[in-house]
Amino acid sequence: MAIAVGIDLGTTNSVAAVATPTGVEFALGPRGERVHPSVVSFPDGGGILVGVDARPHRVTDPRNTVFSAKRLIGQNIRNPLVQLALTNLPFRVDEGANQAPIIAVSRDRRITVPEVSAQVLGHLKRCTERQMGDRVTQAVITVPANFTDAQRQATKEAGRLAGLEVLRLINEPTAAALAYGFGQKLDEIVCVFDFGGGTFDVSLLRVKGEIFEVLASDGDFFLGGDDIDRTLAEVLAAEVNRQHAIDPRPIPAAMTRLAMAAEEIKFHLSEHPIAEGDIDLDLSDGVPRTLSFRITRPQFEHLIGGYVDRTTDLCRNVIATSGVDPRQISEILCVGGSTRIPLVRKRIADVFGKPPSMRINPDEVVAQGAAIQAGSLSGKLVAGTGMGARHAVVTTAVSPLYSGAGGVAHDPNVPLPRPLLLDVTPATLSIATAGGYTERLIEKNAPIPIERTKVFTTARDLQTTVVIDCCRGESRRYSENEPLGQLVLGDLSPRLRGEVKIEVTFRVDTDGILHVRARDAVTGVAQEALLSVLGAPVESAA
Amino acid sequence: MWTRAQLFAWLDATEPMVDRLTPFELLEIPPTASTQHVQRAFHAIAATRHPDVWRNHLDLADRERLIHVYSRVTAAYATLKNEEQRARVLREVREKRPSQPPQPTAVTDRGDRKTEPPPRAARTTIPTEPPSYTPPPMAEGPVPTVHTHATLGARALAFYRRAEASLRVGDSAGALLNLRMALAAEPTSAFLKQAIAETQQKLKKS
Repeated sequence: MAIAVGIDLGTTNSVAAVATPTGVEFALGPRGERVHPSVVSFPDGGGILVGVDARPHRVTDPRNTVFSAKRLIGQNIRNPLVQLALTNLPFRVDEGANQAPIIAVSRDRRITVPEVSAQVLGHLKRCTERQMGDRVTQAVITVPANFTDAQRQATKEAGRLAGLEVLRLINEPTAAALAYGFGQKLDEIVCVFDFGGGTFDVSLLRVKGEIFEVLASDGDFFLGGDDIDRTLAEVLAAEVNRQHAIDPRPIPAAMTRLAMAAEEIKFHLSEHPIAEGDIDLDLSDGVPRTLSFRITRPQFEHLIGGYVDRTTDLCRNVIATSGVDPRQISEILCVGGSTRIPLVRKRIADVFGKPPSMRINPDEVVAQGAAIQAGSLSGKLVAGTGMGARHAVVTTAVSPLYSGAGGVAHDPNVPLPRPLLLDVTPATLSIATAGGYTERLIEKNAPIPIERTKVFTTARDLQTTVVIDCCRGESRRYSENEPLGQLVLGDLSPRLRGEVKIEVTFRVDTDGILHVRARDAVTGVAQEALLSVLGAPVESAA
Repeated sequence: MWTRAQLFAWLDATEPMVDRLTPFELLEIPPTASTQHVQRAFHAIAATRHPDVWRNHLDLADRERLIHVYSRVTAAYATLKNEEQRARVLREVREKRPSQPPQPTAVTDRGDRKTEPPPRAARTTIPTEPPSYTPPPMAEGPVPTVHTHATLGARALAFYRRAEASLRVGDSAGALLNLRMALAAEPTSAFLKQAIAETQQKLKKS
């Protein structure tokens, strides 16, 4: 029987897991690693390297080695934040079709971002197949809670390119809460603080039995460990300039070396008060150089204070939005590698009045939750007895509830209890109205799947075509929001302004993807569209 | 757990009138229901009728029907969770008039402009703002601030009240947390900043 896998597709690292009768099992890589670097290398000699094998190529072959692809997936390359993320990237990124970024690597290969992510997913798929001895056809993939429509569509596209049927995209904080609370018969409010390599999310959930209801969620998809590394690398670069009078910033190999060194220094400072040592550098002038450094934890904390402040501000926002008393929160779950930084943990304790939970593994918990959801949606998981690696997750093969296993006869017409994730939309969705304003159809933090219809009219007499501009964001002014795309409804009966009734229906499905439908209530002409979002993958190119 | 017969009975009864039911009717609760009651009702519906629960038990057309009706129930829940919108729905229900759709707003006047340029006179009558929108008043010069909790917004006030309650039982740490939350909701309030400073001093002394 084919397997459904749960995948945490991360910015720096990815993890795959499967819910088996004996618990959640992680897919191991070629060197026995559970955590797979999200790095794909396209060497000059041809072929493609992924994961732990590709990682060293970041230094030896920086122009052809793609990392942190998640920061670019489903993005519009003209977005200023994307442009900022592109500075200092050693590989070349051009503008492709539909304003989507496209990566140029060796042998004139031009790779779209979903194709890069598909390589990572394909690698995880092969690892899982090798380990489980069975085909993997379905997957649940996790995305940051505040991912936009285009980013979600592009991630789904990546799954499809990797030959996986994407059962569901679930939000990373929700997956973490699922792994924490599944089968525990809890009734409490938990906060998930997800500070990963590229994104930050915070979600408040009410866990009640098998129901996981997100009360409020917020985040920033350009805030993560990568930013911390880059800040530290800039400091190291300035130090190189001072010691050797050579600016390393235009040299991709040197900058990659410094960024990776910065990452190591960050890891070291999470455990020790001082990091000191030497970095061997090739400044492409033929002379081997060394950079000596000494960085103390207070210096480092001063450097990253701004980023950490941003996370705690968002935490306070979420608590204020949900109206929950901070003392009612019984557990703070830390997800993502950046939560290992002592300053982050200290600030969390300041906001919530209690230290974060140490009971979960910040790297693996999201994949665990995805695996449980994959088992549930593929129908192979019927009853849970507990969380994660230590406790068994009962599947049909051994469940006493399932008649096939010789247990209690079960009526196939009645579905069995399974975890239910009630997630929310990350942003307000509106359409443009006359005068440059917006009319909100679905508010931020509204539960999904949701469907709302509002009636609109024409702005001019005898108008026969209307353009419905959809946008995402909290502002009342259309121009201050992020445009999502448009829908054109033609063949309206020519009538006086205000007499035509146009029903616009927004539906956000369980993957968090928006579907828009417009209908002329008089003639019944309907137009339905998945928005052609700028930056999203183009269907024909796939 | 629901049987197929129950699910289809509900779908057949609800689907034809899904646009006319009030949020209370969709959630199967009386208009007097409390916030907790609303949440319980929604959880009960989710547990029995969420499309995921029936994922492997329905064919495509029935699944589509279920998603459509369930998504409307979710929208009803979203409406009732929001205090402001809930009050509006409640007024409509109390007045016993069928919920009238508000005057429709015009979408952008773009579209067939190229083929048929609008007459100038007509353009001046285009509604420039949706009726509900009032631009925020612009502050001119220093705004006189009265330093009491009466100047706080609803959200900040809720946290302020909680902080007061904590102080009454001598829980300064809890009060400080709630005051910080209130400040997050109203970051410019000098009154709150002062209250936080006082509480911090109190905490230091004890």
